[in-house]
Amino acid sequence: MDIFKNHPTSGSSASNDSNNTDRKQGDASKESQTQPISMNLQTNLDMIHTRLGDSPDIVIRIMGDAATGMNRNSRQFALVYVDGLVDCASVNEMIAEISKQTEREMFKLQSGDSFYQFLKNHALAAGGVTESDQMDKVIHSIFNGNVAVLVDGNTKSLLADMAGGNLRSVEEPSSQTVIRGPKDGFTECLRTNTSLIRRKIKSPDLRIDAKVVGKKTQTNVAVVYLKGVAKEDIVQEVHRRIDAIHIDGILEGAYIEEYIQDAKMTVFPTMINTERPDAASAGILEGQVVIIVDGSPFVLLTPVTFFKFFQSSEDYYQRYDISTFLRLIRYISFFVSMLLPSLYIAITTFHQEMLPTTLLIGLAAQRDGVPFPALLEALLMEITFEVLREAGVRMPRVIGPAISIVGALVLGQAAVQAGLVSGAMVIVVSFTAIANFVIPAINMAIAARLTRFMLMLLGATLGLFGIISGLMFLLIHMASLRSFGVPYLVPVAPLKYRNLKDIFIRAPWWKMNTRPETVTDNNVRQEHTGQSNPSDQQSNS
Amino acid sequence: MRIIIRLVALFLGCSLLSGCWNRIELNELSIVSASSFDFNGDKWVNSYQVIIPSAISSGTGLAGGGGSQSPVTVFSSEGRTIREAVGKSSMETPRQLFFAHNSALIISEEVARHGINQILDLHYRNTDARETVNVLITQGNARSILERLVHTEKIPGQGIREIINNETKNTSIVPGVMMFELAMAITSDAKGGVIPEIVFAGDNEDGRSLDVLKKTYEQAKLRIGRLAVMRGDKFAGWLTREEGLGVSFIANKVRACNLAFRCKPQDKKYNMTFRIQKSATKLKPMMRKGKIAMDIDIKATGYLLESSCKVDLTQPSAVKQLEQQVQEEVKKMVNQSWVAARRLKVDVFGFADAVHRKYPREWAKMKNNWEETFSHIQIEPHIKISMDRVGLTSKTFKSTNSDDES
Repeated sequence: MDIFKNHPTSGSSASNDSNNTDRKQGDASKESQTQPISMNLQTNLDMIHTRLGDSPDIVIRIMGDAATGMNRNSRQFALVYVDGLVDCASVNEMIAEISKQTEREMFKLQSGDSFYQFLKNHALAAGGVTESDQMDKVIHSIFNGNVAVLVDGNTKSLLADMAGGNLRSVEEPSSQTVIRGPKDGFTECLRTNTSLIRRKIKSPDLRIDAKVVGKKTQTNVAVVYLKGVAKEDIVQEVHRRIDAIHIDGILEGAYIEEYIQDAKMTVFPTMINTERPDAASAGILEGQVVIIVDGSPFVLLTPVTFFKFFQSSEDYYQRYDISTFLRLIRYISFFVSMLLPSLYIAITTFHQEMLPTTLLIGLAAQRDGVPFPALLEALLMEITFEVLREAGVRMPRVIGPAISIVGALVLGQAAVQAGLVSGAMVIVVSFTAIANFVIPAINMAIAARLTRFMLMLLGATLGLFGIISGLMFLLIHMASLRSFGVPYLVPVAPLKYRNLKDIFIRAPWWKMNTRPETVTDNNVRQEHTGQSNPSDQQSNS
Repeated sequence: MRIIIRLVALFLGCSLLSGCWNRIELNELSIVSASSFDFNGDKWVNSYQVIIPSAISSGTGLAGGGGSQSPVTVFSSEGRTIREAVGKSSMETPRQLFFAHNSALIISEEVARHGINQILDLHYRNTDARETVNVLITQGNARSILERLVHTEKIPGQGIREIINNETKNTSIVPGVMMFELAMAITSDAKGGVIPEIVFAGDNEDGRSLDVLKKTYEQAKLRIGRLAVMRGDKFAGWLTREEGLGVSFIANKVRACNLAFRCKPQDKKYNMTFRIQKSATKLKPMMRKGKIAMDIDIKATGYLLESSCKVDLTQPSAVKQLEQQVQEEVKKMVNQSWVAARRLKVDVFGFADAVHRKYPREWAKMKNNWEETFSHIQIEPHIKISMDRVGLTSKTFKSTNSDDES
């Protein structure tokens, strides 16, 4: 497990002591709350009432005959569920079914226990029925959309899965769109999300491990991987890191990402997120582990390398020639969005001799009358753009066009005409901004945005020398990063020649017959049946 | 974490130390497009042709488009040394002089006679001035060349460079010389270099005003003239344009040129033109009884450009005969330039290097009076011209129209 030593939550070092005590406290408090279900229905309902308070959305429906007078056999039972988390029509249907069945069979049944068995085996009109004798489990399950059936005189409760209510349906992903390719996107519902993956990978090896994270939110988390393809120790490490999380609430996958990522102090993301089931499935097929968090349409994929962030799922749906071209464009854009302003500053303030004479004269003419040094000019424009961008994300949709008109004017013509910035700087900044949007993964685009400012300062103080040292620093830093034990720059550093087929180019599918070795246990993607190119086989026959 | 904080602190400290000491904004630069050296008594007079960017670029912002403003301004400064003079320039210009984009360096004949060591040293010692600047020489005042405007090129300095480049590429009579080429030539064994002359043709007072650009012709213009020969770093004499092409042929500097020649040996008028596309020269020194003979092996290919001679070009023998004529023409030029070089006693062809390579021992002996040895060399030009194409028509109009003639 040496490869995971970077991560503070792994291993049993001294730093984990505090975590352990936390866990003990948590266990102790849990024990005090853990109560078995009582024989008496009324006691149970009182207990639920005390635990959950007087919330109007908790529905307790008591049915059947109470034990009165001569009839010693109580056939009373109660349905407990949370209104809004269950599918009302199904619940109503189930209640009607139970009433009908119990009325007919009422007198045959003697004890609470046989009544319970009857309910369990014959009367409950629900697909998923589980049992529990712990009150905690019952309460937890009703918050997951189950209907709890508590029967008088029985210490077990039936839990019928009736999850429903108002959920967003499967829609086209809004943040990662494609021209050609599947148009379904993940939703906030965990079960829908796992089903979307299940629909794509119908292999019995697909494993979905369920977890609950968050003391208060009790958020469901699923760890999805392909057994035999994903590396066993990576899967275990993911489990261990998720188990080590102690937080009261998880509202989005980002919470988990920040807890379990390898390096804390870096601008480079070591996990990738996607809204697309096809991208998640492709990752699973390559041996990645997918973490789905209930309530978030973005799933996390790990381990990832630097180059994964430049692969768009559409690369694999277009022909390989155009995909390769687009991938090169993305790498170029990454460097442009990281370097262009700093190069402009460095060259115009330190290395004027590097410019062609005509260009130099043109730039010098534009700078005539600009009051600020190039660095200040660039910072001014960059920050203006960042403000506009942030405003564009946050503002109400209705005001959108107004802001974009003002933004275009401020960033474009007006600033130049007012003599605040030079025209060339506007071109540099806007091209930088546009290049930033080409990077398919937003968190990698953010890394380029942040390093840009560092490089601008370096370029303005030390010229090209500063930029080169900055890039060296970034390179060394990236080489030291790991994502769940996988080096960040693999397969370029360390060089793994055979895995380069999907890095700078996108090789045709019939050539990509292996999976990336570092991520998977089993790297055979295609079985070799003579020639791997199907068209060759056709021509031979 | 603590390490990162330390690193950040260290880095920030370093950036404070550096202090951007050599940072300079674009609008603090005076971009020099051409410079010149003159002598005033025993003082250097440097002149700079400085570009006014806003007058050239139709840049936006406060600076309006050009048009009525002169694209350059010329001024001079005087000093006992060159850099002292450059330093003094800051007393009359608001911006720092920037020599990296200097396209042309014009030396007056007087300076060349005095020696150009100091100029070469300056360009090699400093990072801002480049050795790739084109060197030109002029009779009289060099500053007056900088004051001329060139049609079609906005910046006169660049215009001069383009003229030289165009000349080098298309005629090769007076090939352009860059600072480093000149330095290499005069420090080589031959110790002989050439510098093209730039002359000012026409009315002396014209060409300094912007009005010159408003006419469709130039009354006064800049033109490439003869070839100045340098012995070491000092001026030795002039070669004419015809001699210049011969020098180019021997020194293997011909890239392309148009060559007029006679169709038949007995013709009096030059009536055909041959375009040389590729030419290569090999110098092979030979020792004959203690004397040096230089075998000059010129191989050139090209095509026929123009003909007004009645000759049947479909016949291989006719083409052979024309090749022969071109060879004679080249041979004549080679001999002319050889005579001229012998007259000046300057090895502008680089014979010394060829001899040194082939006969290193003998070279040690003759090194000290190379000038004398040089003038006694026997040259043996072997010229091989091959005419690859004769053009689209094989017959000339002369032969079709007038059968009666000849």
